[in-house]
Amino acid sequence: MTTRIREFIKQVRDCKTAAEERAVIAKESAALRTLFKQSDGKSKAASIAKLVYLHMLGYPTHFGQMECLKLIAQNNSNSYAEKRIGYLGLMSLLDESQEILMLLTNSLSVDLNSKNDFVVRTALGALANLCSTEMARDLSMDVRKLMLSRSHPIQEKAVVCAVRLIQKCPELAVEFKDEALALLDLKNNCIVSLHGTMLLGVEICKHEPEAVSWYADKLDVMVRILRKCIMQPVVRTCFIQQKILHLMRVIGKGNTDLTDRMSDVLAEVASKTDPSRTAGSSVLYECVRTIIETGSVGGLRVLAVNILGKFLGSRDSNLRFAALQTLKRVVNLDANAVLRHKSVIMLCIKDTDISIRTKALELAFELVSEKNVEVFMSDFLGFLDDDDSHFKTELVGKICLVVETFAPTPIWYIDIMTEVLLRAGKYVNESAFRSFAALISTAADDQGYAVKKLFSIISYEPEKSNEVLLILSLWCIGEFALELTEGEDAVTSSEIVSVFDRVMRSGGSTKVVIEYALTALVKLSDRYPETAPRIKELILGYNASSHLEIQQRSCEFRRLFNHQKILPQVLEAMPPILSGVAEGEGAEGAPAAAGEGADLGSAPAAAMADPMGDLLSMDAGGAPEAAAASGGDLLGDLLGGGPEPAAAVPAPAAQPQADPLMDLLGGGGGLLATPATPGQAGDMLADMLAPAAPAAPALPTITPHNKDGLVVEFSFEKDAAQPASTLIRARYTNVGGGQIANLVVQCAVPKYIQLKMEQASGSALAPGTGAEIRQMIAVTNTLQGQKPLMMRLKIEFALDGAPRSEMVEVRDFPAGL
Amino acid sequence: MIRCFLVINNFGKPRLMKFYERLSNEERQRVIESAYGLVSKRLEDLCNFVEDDSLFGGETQLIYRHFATLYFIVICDKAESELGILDLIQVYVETLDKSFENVCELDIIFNQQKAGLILDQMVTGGLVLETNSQEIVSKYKELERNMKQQERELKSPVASSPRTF
Repeated sequence: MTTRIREFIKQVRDCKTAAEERAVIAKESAALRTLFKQSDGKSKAASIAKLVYLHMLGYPTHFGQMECLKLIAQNNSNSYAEKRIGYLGLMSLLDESQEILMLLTNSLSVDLNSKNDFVVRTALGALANLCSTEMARDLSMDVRKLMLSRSHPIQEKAVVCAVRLIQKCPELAVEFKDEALALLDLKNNCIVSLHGTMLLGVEICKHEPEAVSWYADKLDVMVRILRKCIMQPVVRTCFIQQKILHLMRVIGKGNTDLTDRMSDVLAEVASKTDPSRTAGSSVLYECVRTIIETGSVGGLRVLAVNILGKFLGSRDSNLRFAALQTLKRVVNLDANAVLRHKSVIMLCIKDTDISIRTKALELAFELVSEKNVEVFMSDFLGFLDDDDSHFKTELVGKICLVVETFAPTPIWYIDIMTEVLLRAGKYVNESAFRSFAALISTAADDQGYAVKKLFSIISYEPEKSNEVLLILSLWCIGEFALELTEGEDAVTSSEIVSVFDRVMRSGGSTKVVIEYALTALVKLSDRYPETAPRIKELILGYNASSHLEIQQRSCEFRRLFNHQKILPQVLEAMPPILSGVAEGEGAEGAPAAAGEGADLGSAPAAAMADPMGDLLSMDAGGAPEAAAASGGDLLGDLLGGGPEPAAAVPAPAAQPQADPLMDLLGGGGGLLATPATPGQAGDMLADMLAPAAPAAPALPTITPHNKDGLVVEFSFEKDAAQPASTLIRARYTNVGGGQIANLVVQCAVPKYIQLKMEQASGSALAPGTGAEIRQMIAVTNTLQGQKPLMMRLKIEFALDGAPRSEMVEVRDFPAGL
Repeated sequence: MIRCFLVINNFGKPRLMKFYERLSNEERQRVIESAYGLVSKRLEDLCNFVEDDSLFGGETQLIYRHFATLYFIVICDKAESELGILDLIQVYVETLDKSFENVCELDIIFNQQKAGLILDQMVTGGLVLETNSQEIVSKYKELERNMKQQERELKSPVASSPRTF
């Protein structure tokens, strides 16, 4: 037996713990389900009310949908109360069930033609709330009839309902033409249905370009209504006034004749509306928008902008917000008018309210142009000391964008960006960072200025610098060091090295900074041979670094010093980065950066990993180019010269970049095929080699599974000493668009086969990265020759968080295993 | 267009919700949660508008008002006038006050249907229908009368015409 609704709500509210609440609700849901199964119609209305309450609390209620429909479908004379609760329930409970929607369409069409006005009203309300495209098509005729109904409540609901139908199904817009225009001419229109009529007008004009002229013919009617509204208290008429103004805006755009005819009434609204209440101000804003967007000129426009100015200075934060919002809408139409309020807008950026601050900031940046950028920038830099990190990220992002777009001179660009990097380095995003680096590399005349400026910061004011600034400075010094030792304020090469020494020793320098410093140092050693011994010493100091990437780099550079012949080419300065090229390099660098992130393990800030991978890959990209220039014999040199294969690939492999490495190995394949035995799995080089030459595939590779983006491939190896055993190298890759996580593959084999599986190399595969997971499976077929190899795989993983499980029978192993 | 109208208490419990867009129950709960997260940490003297692009796939604004223990929240698209919506919330609360006599959270908890029906007189299908609180009250009373009359008719065996006017 179910309880009464009031008691039920009380019970739920009395629950002390979530578990208790769940228990009460589970009990009640069960009771409701049983009740719905019984066929007597009593007390079901109350049950639906309970379901609505349950739904609001977030519990499943789908089982109630049918019951709502049953209530709606009753058609005896006393059914209004039940219909009402049925519709109410359905409005909350309905989900995407097609069957229910179809049944509902039938019930609605019956109810729209009901003789009971209340039923018609409820049905119209429900249709407006639940409308789908199909329903809009099926029921548009019924709604059109009701739009001109004599009963006001029905009429107003029908008009609003029509707006909804058009929203859901725009091609219906034309059909409503006659009714929509007839509504405007009705003598005894009530305010509410007029509001709907205007809404309808706006909606029709949106979808039907011709409709603008239909409504233009009715302008006089609209003006008359608007005049009538001004006479009444604004609280009653604010919505209709807003909508008339909106519709006027739609039809008046670009039509000077109409605009002139409107201007009188607009001026009247603007001057007579009392802005002291919210309703009044909302009308004023709409009026201002209409004035500005229809392109009115002269006094009216000045009036409009002045109204906004007044609100900007208002104490009420809501008004200020709305003023900013409106200004932002009109800024494209008349930037000069908005510019007059610049000082107030700047004050708003310092407001305590983040909504207002963000709006004002957006507006201020819309106002920036080539002419005023320098004035604005000094203001913007003043906001950099804000504490809110979200706001600061936005501010810095916008500053960088503006600087990039409007910078009058490269020197100015360099000054501002250095200032931003100094004061808010960690908020500078990757692309701004990259464009700054690109600018320095292309602006040949101002390179010296930039490098000197950066150098002076890190050498004289090291306490002010931060990671991002350091990275940029080190990179620039590495690339353009020659500029530093020339011209005024020249420094000596040993001073530069001393600064590097200090930066690297400083406790605050992160691993990424040290990596950059190492690369820059190597380049310096080439520019200033006299410093080479000291640099070598510095680099050697990191040979035993506990950090893999740093150690690897320092060891590689050490080897590089032994190849004096190729040093100059490898360490040549980067060619100027063109923005477009930088993008391309960025894409190429992405996998490298990802691989590096995994290597580092220490996870530097994500934003940092990227520009770094990028800059480094540019390094690496530059090196092979140099290599290509000096011809193929260098290649032979590289591969033949080194005693150990791992070290034989020096500078270009500073970054594990797949492509150039493959090229190198492809060229000297014969030489390297032997050392790349499967035994050295851990070795980076062998890793790179494995996909290129999958262990001399005498046996074909098979693909037992390729579904949901997950591809499982098996390749095979045989040991000549043990013919019965086979080593299966399983390789899992993600070719789909989804994120694969928690991948577990299990094998089952018949009794005559012995199986040994090793741990997989990972369990997650991001889409589009080309990442792969490997796993070794060793099988021994004890009945080799009599029975074939077979196994069953159970593959479990989560695709974008949704668990998947697959069973695969693998029978298509190559013969003879 | 208004996407949804929510009444949430100070602790994030929903007290009334009307969605004018079809969403699954989970999505609705998520909207409620994030809306509460946005408004609950704002101080009293700040403005009543918040923009958040994570709700309903962007291009929406959240307009709210805080009365005693309840947040009245409207999420709508940018075509709605924010001050107008603010006024709408005011009208709704005034209307509730008129029909419950000093409305409080408990009234809404135990009379959700009534609160919902009143809202239905003001907003239909996400569009504002009526903003005069007297009109709204009288329309609601008319509905109530009709219901009561029907109940009486159910009890009495003599059936009269269902048309009341």
